[in-house]
Amino acid sequence: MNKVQNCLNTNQQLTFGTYSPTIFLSVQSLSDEDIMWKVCQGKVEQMGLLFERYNVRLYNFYLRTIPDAELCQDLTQTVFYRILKYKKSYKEGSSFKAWFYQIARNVKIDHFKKKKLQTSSVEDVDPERNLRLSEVDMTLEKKERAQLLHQALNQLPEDKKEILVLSQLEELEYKEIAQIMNITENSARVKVHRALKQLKDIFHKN
Amino acid sequence: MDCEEAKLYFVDLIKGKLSEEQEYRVRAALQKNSACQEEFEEIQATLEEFNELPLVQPDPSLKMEFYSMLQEFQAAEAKPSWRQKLQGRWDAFWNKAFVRWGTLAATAVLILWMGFWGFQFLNDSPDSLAINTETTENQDTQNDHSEKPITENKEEEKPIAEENEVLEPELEKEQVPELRQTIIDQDRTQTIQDIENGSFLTTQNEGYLAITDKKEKDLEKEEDKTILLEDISTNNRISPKSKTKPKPKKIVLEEPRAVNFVDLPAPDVRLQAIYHQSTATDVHIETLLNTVKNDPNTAIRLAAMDALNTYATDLKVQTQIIALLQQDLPAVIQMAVLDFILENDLKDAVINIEQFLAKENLHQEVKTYAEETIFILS
Repeated sequence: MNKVQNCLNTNQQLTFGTYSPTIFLSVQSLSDEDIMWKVCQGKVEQMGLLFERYNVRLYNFYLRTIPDAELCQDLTQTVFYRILKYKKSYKEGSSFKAWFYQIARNVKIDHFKKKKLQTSSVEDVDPERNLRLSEVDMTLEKKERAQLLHQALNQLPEDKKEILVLSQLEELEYKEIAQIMNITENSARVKVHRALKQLKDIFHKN
Repeated sequence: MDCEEAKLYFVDLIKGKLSEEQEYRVRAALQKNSACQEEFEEIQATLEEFNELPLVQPDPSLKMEFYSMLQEFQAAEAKPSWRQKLQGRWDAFWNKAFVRWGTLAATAVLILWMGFWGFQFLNDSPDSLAINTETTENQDTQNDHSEKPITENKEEEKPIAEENEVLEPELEKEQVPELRQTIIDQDRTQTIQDIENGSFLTTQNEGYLAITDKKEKDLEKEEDKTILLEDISTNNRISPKSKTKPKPKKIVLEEPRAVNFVDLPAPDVRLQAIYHQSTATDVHIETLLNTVKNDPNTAIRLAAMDALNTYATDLKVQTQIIALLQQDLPAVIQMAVLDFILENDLKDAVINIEQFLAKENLHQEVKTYAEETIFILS
């Protein structure tokens, strides 16, 4: 049985990082979990590494589900702040990705609860501007298809959008998705399939 | 596997996450059903489109804001917590000299205050008051002894508690120790004067003396009934035992017969009494012997032994001192007796010393001393 513990009850391990064999390895070889564990033990400067690894993906996670680039940037910033603030709640051995996107999802939910806004209120934002397709080196046809797909994605219900982004863009396992969305693994599998089928239907209809 | 079940594995099949067996089963389901195959191809196309969506880079300000926030967070973490702040303030406060000395002084005052009230409390307690009042009562009674017959005293004996009840309202708390000291001083002065006047052994002092009966024959018969007069020792009066101790009988006799220095109030007075009497009288010798036997103070006993040495030629004294060996006396006195025998070359006492040696629980040093005495005398 994998013994899961968080920073709060593992004071004896606080000094572990100093003598950890991983210190001799390159930063690149450190897993997300190793880095987060160091952050958890107080080495907050290590958070920079996680930011470099995840800031673009997180931003795009928001961008796929919220068609407001500025808001997405704010939420991305908020997620990293929350990770620092609640670093002690990270449990050693647990999937960093799952924990990270759980926080990301909560940040989004909290934001819309606070603002009492619905995502539909920002649907009018221009997806081309949002996706900055003009900056991307793609053929015109591909750019159009990407724009259509983005529009189709925005027409999906919120939970389906999220589950599709998590499974396809972030390539999370069903197990991790289940953990983030607080559902069973099989339920996650079925939901991913249904979301993908609906996206296909909308996309092909367009 | 039918198509509906196979659909759940389309994404895994596209991503190549299925095992060989699973892949075989899904592909078999697709081959059986062309509609299923068609749906699979559409989903595959959609997924490819989806995965081709470009990853949009966030604004560079995001990175700047993040690192700025990280720096602030580190600074905030480096700041002392409220506990550390509180500890720091307390240390700064406590390190001031006046605070430390002030605390020390306050503690000292508190201890003194508690000590004072503790003392007051003990003095005010009923037991303490009872003892003090009882002492006063005893003193009063002693002063009246010469005038009251024993029979009256007996009749007038009252429980201590009753006496206290009577005395308590009359005596102020502060007056009790003062009165007690005055009475003791008066007693002592009177006794010393009596000794100097040679009237100590007269009937005037019968309150302090143990006296025999009128007739000598009767005295010999009732020797055991010799009654010590009232215990006027200050220590004994103060001690709780005196509460239950019945008041001694008082006998008026024609002639003084024996003196018991033990009954004198204080060791210094007893010592004066021992050395003051220069003439060898039977009464005095008997008194000294009594002192050797009974005085609670070993030093006084030794002084009495020393005084008896002046009558060493007296056969009666020799006999009496040798007889002391048969009594249970402190080791020092036993050795003094042996010294007396040796110094006066009392060879006849060897038998007594041998009998003395047969005693159990004899101190080893005394035993050696006795054996040496026998050896020298023999």
